[in-house]
Amino acid sequence: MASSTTGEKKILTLKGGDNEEFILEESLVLQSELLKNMVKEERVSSIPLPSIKSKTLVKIIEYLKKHAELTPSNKEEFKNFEKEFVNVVLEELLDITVAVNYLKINGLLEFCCQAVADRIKDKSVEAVRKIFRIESDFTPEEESEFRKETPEAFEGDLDDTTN
Amino acid sequence: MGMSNAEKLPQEIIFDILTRLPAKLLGQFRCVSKQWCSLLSYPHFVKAHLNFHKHDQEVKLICIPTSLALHVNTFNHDPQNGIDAISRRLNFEGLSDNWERVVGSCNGLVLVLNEEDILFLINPTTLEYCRIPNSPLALPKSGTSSTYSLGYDSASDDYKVVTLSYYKDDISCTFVDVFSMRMGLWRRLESLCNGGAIPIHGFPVLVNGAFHWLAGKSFASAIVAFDLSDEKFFEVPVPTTTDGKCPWFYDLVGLGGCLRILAKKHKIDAWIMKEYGVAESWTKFSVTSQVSGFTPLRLMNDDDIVLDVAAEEKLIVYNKKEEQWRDLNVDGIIATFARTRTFMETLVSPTFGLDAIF
Repeated sequence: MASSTTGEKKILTLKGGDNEEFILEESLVLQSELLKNMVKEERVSSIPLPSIKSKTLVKIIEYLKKHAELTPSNKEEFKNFEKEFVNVVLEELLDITVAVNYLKINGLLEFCCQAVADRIKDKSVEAVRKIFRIESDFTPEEESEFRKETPEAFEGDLDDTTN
Repeated sequence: MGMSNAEKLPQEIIFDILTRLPAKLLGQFRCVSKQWCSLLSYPHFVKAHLNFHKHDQEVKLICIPTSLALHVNTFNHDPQNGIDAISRRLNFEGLSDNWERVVGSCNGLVLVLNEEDILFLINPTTLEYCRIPNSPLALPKSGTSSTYSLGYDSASDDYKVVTLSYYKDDISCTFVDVFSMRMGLWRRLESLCNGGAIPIHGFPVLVNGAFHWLAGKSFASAIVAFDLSDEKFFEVPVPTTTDGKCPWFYDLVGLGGCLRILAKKHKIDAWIMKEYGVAESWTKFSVTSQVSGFTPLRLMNDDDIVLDVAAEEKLIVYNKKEEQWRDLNVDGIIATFARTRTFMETLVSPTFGLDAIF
């Protein structure tokens, strides 16, 4: 796709994992270190991001727009937006976090990691295993030893999806 | 629903997320998998975790009630039914409860002395511990006085135990010995002799990588400091009153990363050094009280301070705004606690560097 300009503003196309296309101003994506390097060095106008789901990409673009509009006077509003931004099911939050890490959007990455940390604070070991898709590689003997030593680790919130 | 990306979560993200969690919880998360277990004890992770939580206000109290066992008091964020804190007894496998004194704490490690005069470095959060070998340089026990302190030297990434000791009939000459955890060795530094100020207050205050003692110097108070990296003594300016006089101070404490110094007349005047080393930054506030000899331990919130009243072996809460006192309520009982110190929860291992030696 050829690069086009409307007035002074350069336009860029991002292609999500399911081939959905998002057209946005180039200045917005400069917040991502990865995309910034691609745009600056290779002068591309269309960037395929097959590993990122469109649903996730929509959220991230929404953030980039809000963040670009951030001024000292709407700080409060932005904070509320951020709070709402991470108020999604944990699975989706993890998708966003992985994508943000890949795109290297530093401020947002920290915010997402903190949001994940807040969400797993009350979780039991079992729930954490499910959330992070980890199979326990301890022997059944070691496992029962843990349960004896730190029963509280297995008593937390078992829910591994919504909260 | 779709497939989750969680299984593709890169190691560096897991690392970042976990550094944000409290140490106690991470102790439990060691049983998630072998990989998490080793990640959580990597020195690199432990340090990142410490740095992230360094400025947390969440400190806990460690004390030795009459049972001679070590207890940890955790504060309720939202005190309900009048209970300010919950007390928990620490059980160290293989150690008996004959604790004498909590000497000091640094980065979640606590230095404690037992009744047999043996020092232990413990982590009350992970319940790991390490015995500090007796110093071959120690002065004979009778007729001498010694104080111990624990600090961290960021330049050499080392924890150091520093002792000041002197013969009681010759207080003008103080011996300074340093034990390096990394090297597992005691060393004697050049003695601190008359001419400079001599620390007179036992417990040093650890702020800004240096110990600080209240000291006496030609009929006035002074603050003597010891830099843990270059192992040199220096002086920090003390506050003066509006008429240019230097009041007589009775205590020096560290709270919220700042030095605080206390003087008593009919009320207690406290100064906070807001900017380290800057004499002009001392800021004064006064506390009206009938209680003397208290040491601020912890800020509960903007208005409440927890104070250690050593003479009465109890902890009290002082409300600055209403100028009111009340006893600290631990587990529903009014606490009588002697020998209380604060610490923060970290994963730092007390066996640091010593594994190869012992």
